[in-house]
Amino acid sequence: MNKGDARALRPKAMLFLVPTVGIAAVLVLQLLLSNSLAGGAHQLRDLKKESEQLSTDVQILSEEVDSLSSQQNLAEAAKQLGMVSNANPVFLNLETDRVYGEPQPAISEEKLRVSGNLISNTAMSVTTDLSTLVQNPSVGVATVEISGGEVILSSAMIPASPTR
Amino acid sequence: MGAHDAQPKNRLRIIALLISAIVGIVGFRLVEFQVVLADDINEISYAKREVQRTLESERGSILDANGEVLARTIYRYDINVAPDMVGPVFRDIEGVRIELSVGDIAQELALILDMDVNEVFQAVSGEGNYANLKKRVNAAVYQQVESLDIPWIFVDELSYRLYPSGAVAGNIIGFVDVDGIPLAGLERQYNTCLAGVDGQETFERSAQGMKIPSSAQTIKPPVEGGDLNLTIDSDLQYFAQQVLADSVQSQNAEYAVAIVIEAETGRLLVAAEAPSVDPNDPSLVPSEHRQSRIFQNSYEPGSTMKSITTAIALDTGEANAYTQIVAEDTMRLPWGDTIDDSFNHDPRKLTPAGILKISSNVGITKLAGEISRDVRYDYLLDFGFGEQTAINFEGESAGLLREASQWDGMTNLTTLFGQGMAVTPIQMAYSYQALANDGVRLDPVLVDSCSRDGQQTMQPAGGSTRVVDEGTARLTVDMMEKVVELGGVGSTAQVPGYRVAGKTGTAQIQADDGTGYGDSFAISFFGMAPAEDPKYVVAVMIYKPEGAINSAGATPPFKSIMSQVLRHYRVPPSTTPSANIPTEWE
Repeated sequence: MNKGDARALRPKAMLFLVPTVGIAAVLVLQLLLSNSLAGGAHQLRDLKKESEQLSTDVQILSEEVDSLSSQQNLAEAAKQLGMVSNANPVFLNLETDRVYGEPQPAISEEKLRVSGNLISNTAMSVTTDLSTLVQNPSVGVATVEISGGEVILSSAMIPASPTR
Repeated sequence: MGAHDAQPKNRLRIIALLISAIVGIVGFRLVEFQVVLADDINEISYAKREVQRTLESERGSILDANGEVLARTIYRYDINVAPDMVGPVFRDIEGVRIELSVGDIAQELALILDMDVNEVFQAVSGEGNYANLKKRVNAAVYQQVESLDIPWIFVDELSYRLYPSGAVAGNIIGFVDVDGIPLAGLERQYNTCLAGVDGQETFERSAQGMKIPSSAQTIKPPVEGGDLNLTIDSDLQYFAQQVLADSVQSQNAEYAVAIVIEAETGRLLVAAEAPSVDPNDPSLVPSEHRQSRIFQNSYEPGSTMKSITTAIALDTGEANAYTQIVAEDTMRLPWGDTIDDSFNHDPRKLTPAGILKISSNVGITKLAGEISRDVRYDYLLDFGFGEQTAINFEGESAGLLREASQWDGMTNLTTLFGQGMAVTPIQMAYSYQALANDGVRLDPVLVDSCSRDGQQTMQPAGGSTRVVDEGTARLTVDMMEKVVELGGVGSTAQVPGYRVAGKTGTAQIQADDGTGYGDSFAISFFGMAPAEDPKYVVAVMIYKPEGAINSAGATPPFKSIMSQVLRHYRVPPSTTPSANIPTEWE
């Protein structure tokens, strides 16, 4: 075959090559697209599952918060901590520096203590674990130390009482 | 050669013709299916794949005055099994694939579901596609079951009504049944606010019955229920219920109620009862404890009505602070009946304040017995007796106040001291609210509003009725203060630091056999503080306490609740003395 014949045959080869490469490219693209879509569907499923799990977690936690913040749990916890209701509250009027009422210490007698809960609540799933509060110094009111440093007024003239 | 050449050409033409015909037919059918009949075919196909599903709307919450949740909707889960599919389960544990037998799985489920192993084993060993293992487990249990990843366990999610504070305000909130249908209380009365409207969605399913992702279409979005905002202060409500539960226990009473009203607004802050119902499980108490006695039960009020009668006498000009009455301990009536005081005493020279202080039946009869029954009847209507309150609570009683024309001679007089008529605790409490609020009775407010999509609806109309003059109300309160300041039983209602006005009530209860009054009493104390400018009205009534002969059993709970109310709302203690009005005369 001379050069002229080869030149005459070249377009026919191109005619075969171009569609073949094109089809191959389309197939590869389709494969990539399918993979991508399948991956997206899996990701969507996983995210939906995670979202459902998180919703369930939220529900569990909110029910726990409901229980712990219920009046019944707080009353029981207050009683166990030996809290006393002071029958003689005193009010201070900050504008006039006037004291209303007669200050008296709360008396720690059994009959004056916050009474134990008498109101039923079957929705309570958890209660305050006071043993944790007492044993763990990092949490709980039982072991909280009040910092008592000197408080300086903004004028920096006279130190104000830290008990203010 | 020519004939041989023609044959292949003809065959080629025939084949080409056939292929053209086939292509033509296929093309025609293609156009027919893809264009002409496309919509119909799509519709038939979609109908086969389409599934319609109801989108459940969420019932709204009930909130107290501070936004604390008293009722809300959460989810519970029914744990079900498909017995036909039950088999061993494979699980990867630390990279090792192990097989768990049905017995092993049954043990795991029994532990999580708090059931007997045999019970679980029996359920999973049955036949068919469905068997329920346990109903309405909470989210924590559901999560544990899900984590087992058992292919033959499936779960139904169900709406569930949760009342986080249990029996706090349970008697007025009411409850719903297992299907979420409201059965009692505000849940039922305000269902139009709380209930949502269910929506609808469609999705496509595969041949295997699985939902095709991204195929869901919402046809009708659900409308969520509104939130009901109450005037009740749940902390105070809890405190009052604690006090009442203690009183009922210690006095072996049938029940007790307490009401706290903000005098100047008519807002109902506490509507407490003991025993109370826990709406989470109403079946724990008998049916009589599931109602709201504050609205639904009426009783003869007894001496608490004397404050109202005194106000009427003052307002009509029949009496003033210095009116002189000689009160014996008994009074014979022209038709032979007698009116007696609750204790024997020599004739006492009493003013209206003195009559209230010793709670003299004879004294109040002499003070106001001459006022026309029609005038008194109109006053009683204005005070709110004989008709339901504006709250219009489910099954609310109107009490019993016969028209004046139907009063016989005795009823005409006994109504002066709270017999021959019946009132509900809420009516009686709001008659005292009128006295505390300068003579203006406000419509009770229990529901502040219904919030939905940022809109506030169902707000109270805010009606009011001028019952007596401001001066009359002030003077009546001053007189009631003498009950607490100087009275016997009344003085046990004193709250240190505050001026308190109030009135005792010891009403005999009709015997069950209808033979007149029996040995049981409804004891009560209704009062307000600070007396110099009443902010809060507190009412306590204890029904059938054991061994009661006076209202001494009602003043301690009144004192406890009133103290807590004043402390809770930071009311400054009183700084002025009580009014200088006499209780007796010489």
